[in-house]
Amino acid sequence: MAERVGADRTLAVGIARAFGGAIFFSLPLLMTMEMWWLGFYMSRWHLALFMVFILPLLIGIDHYSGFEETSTWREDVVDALVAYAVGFVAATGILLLFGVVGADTPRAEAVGKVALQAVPASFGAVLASSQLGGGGEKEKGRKERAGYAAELMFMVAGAVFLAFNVAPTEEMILISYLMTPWHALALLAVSVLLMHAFVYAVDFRGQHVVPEGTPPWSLFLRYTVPGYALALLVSAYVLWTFGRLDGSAWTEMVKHIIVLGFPASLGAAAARLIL
Amino acid sequence: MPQRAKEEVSAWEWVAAGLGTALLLAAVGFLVHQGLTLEDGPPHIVLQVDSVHPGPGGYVVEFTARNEGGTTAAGLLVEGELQGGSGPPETSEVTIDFVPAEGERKAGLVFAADPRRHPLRLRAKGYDEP
Repeated sequence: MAERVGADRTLAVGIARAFGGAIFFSLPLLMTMEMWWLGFYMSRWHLALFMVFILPLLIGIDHYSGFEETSTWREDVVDALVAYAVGFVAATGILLLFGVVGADTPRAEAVGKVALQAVPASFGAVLASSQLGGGGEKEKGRKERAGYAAELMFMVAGAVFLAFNVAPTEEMILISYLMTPWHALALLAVSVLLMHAFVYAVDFRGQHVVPEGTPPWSLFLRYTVPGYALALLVSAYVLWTFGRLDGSAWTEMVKHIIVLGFPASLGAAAARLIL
Repeated sequence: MPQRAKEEVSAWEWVAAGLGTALLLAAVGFLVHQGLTLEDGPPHIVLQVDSVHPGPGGYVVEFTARNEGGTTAAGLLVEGELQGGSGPPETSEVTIDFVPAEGERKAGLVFAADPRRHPLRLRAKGYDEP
């Protein structure tokens, strides 16, 4: 951690780090052509709703591990908005650099492309300090006190992040066309088991210690099962946002949701370890 | 991360556990039901004209392709044939990426002549497995 020379310098380092995180975490999506297409054809209402939906998650992550050592919720809100701004600027810069957006791009199309990319970029901006920077002592203390609701929030954030990374691709839909309901059932079981193993069994850094006197099934029911249910809900919401559920029968929709629920559930489990 | 020696479990955690279990069981039950009852015959495509819009480049015929079969059709080729007055019929075609099993997709065909004044026939010509 750099010496605290002055508030301005701390802020400048924080912003620079946020830009680093924004570009690093959103690069795969900035280089995905389906994301550019979605930018102009996806429903404007869905896009606007998604941008609002993401804000409480940014605030929540920032509260527990943000790019500034904030203490009040009000400062967390400001930080989340700054992260959004960083996300917008970073996404605009990279899309201009790639020539995906240029002077001759129709305005509505350019706004759609940038706004959609700003979502993962702002996520990256908020994650930047918790993953790329050295967290202060204060942050660690708060993280240890994180309650049950915060754990669920981490899981939603992780699920959104990973689901968002793969949902725009055509493959998500194609995979479920190749699967029978029995395949989907097996994938569901694998998702739940991997999720539980990730957090409790395979000795990753940040692994959760099973408190004494708590039977394993209790943790499974209270953390893994609700976590997987949230991952499925996130998966359904992200698919709906991108219009991937339109015109499909129930069987196909459930299969799409379970296929995207696989990365979403692993994202949820990983978030509990990392955040 | 929580590393308390003895855990205090709040009622909310059990509420979340209950809701999560309910959703999980619902998904499992649905898949088992579908697995046992779903028939996987070939795609059966039904085409239906939704609307006709005159435009600068011709008349746009919007239609819905509904798949009533049990498997998904990929690369579905749809041809529209418009019977003219005296000359040969005017044809247009479009390829639809996917029409999921028991699902539907919308697409459009463009004609120079007015499809509202001549008989129009839509036909699914072929598909591919995903």
